[in-house]
Amino acid sequence: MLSRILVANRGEIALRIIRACHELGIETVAVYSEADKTAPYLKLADEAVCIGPPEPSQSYLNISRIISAAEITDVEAIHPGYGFLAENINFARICRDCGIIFIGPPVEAMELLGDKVQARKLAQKSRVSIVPGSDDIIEKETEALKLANKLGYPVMIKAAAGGGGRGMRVVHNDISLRSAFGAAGGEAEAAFGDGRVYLEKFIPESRHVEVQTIADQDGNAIHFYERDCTIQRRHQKMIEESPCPVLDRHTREELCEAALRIIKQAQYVNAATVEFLLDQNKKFYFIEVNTRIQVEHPVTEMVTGHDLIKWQIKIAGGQNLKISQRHIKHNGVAIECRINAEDPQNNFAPSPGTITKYIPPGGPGVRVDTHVHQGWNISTCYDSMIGKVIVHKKTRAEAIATMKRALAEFVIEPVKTTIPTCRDILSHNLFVKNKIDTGFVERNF
Amino acid sequence: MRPNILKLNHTSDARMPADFSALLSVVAICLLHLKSLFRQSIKTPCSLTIYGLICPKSQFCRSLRPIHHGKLFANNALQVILIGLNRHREFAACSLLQVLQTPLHAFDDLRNGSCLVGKDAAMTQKDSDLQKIQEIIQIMKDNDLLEVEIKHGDDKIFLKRFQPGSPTVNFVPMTGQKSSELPPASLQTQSPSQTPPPATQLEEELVEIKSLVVGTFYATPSPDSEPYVEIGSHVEPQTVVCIIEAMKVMNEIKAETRGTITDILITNGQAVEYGQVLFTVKPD
Repeated sequence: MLSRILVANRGEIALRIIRACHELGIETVAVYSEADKTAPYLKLADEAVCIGPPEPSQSYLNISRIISAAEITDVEAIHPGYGFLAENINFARICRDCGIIFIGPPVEAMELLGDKVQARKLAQKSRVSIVPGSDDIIEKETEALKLANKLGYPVMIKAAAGGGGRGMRVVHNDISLRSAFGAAGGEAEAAFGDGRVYLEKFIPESRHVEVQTIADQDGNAIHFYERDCTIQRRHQKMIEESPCPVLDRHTREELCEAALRIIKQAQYVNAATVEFLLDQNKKFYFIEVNTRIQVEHPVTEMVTGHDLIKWQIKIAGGQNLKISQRHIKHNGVAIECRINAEDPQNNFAPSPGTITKYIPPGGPGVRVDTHVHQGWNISTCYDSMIGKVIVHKKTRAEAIATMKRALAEFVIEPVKTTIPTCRDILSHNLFVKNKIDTGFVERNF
Repeated sequence: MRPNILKLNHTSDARMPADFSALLSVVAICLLHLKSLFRQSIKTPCSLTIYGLICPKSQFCRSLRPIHHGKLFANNALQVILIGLNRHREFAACSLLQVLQTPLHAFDDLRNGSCLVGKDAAMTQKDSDLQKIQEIIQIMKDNDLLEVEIKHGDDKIFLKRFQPGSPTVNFVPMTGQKSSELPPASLQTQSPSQTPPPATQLEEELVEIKSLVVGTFYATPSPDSEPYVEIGSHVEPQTVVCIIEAMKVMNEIKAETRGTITDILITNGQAVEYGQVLFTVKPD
């Protein structure tokens, strides 16, 4: 078991990791930027090291400062959380070269699955359906046009190095493809340092379903069932639930098995989420693999009773998955609402500032994962997610009712949050009846 | 490395002299800061010393560099907490000495050896305590004493000067105890110390040299060499003041300012974080 870990992240996920380490008896080192120096979770860590000014590029994305912090505090491993450096191959490589365990996949697996085009090829090799699209990178606009017409519009231009809902553009005809193609490449270059793009058919009215997996260093891999993340706005998830309410048992088994095939094919180690699109006919298509722990991991934790962060840490420390697939039981329904400091009345513009009144919800079946508190200043430097409310009940109807109750109790003032939007979605007829798709939020809110 | 803590607790409601009250609205420090210092210390204790000397009314306090902000306690309970480690006690004590010394005129009452003043004294307990300590410090300096311990009943004061030395206050629980005379001091003579370093000129702003790198601090170019700078060294913007090693790369840290090193707040081999103050410089 590891003895000392550096948490290379901030906010609620940093707190989450510190909590898991406490329970495992592992010492923690937190790093923070000057904007986070009053964060209470820093005091929960055994040591805290300031790594820079508020700007992420100078702090949480600054590899040399984070590695230096790891060296001076003599840690064995680094947990990157999600976002920031969690899927940065360079960072994982540097950790390995410095003899620091990176709590995540090996560099090769990350590289393979991080390139979305390579990941598609791997999925095909694993006999998993992929979204119809280009076999490889599209370099020329003429190539793109030809393929788009063959696939049939609408199509999506996607960045090979993208992911997490970024670097994607939907185009509906030749004209928009012409104007978007070059721009998409430029955006990808700026955002990911890699301007290569590929094409996928855009499947309308689809649901987003993903499978949580964990693999150990001996090649054992198990899944923790699926999550449905169809409620998205601009490709950013807002509400997630487990199980996917429209899957029958057979499709679920196929889906989870497909995910495991891909993970094993990639010789993956540690936690990963395999993402699929589910079309109207309940047919699923592979999209991508997220080679990190995800924001919505608590949903799976509630329905399976397993602590995914602890599994990550144990596996990184060399421990095997001592359990087998039959030990993973799915129990009840869990729903998570992400709470963003955004103003729904103002096109979800960020709403930073100091929280002067903060009363979180509680009661049976309610879990709140957050680092904020009364007096916390929400900075403009980081993304707007300030917390998550997760609810676990026996049935979906109960879970929805409890989540509505919990969100009604939740007081965060004076900043604006997406709590009202979540409540509206949960009350919406289509959501309750499961007649939604990935475009639902943007059409109705 | 234990901190040296001077704690004066006054709950008297007596009105203080105006100028002295300005002075005494100084150095109220949240104990939380004390705790956070030690939570955040990196293996070896941080060399951060003075906390928050804030006194808007007093020109002397304003010119001291607040490293952390203090909080003014609303009631008359005043807590003065000084934490010094290694050489920084001197800086701390020196500064406090300057602060205490300047507007005080009335040393006369204590000159004849009188005492802790009781509740019914004309001066408040607070005034007399500070004056008393001040006087003792002066006596120590005049006579080149290194340690003084005074006990009277449950009250105790122990002052110790460190090499190259200027007095630093160690510990005193001050209660409102009445005593009629200065209790006998137990004096220990020590080997003569060097003259104390030049006291910070409080009217001038000090420039801090901060680390912009996370790593390990080295004062010397190599283990056997002389340090790059010492207290009193003059620096130019391009003068290398230290090395901070990060990921096996030796980063030479330049002064980026012109002046004289007044203090070194970090020890050789110590871990440093981003923004940590390494040196203070008196600009030319």
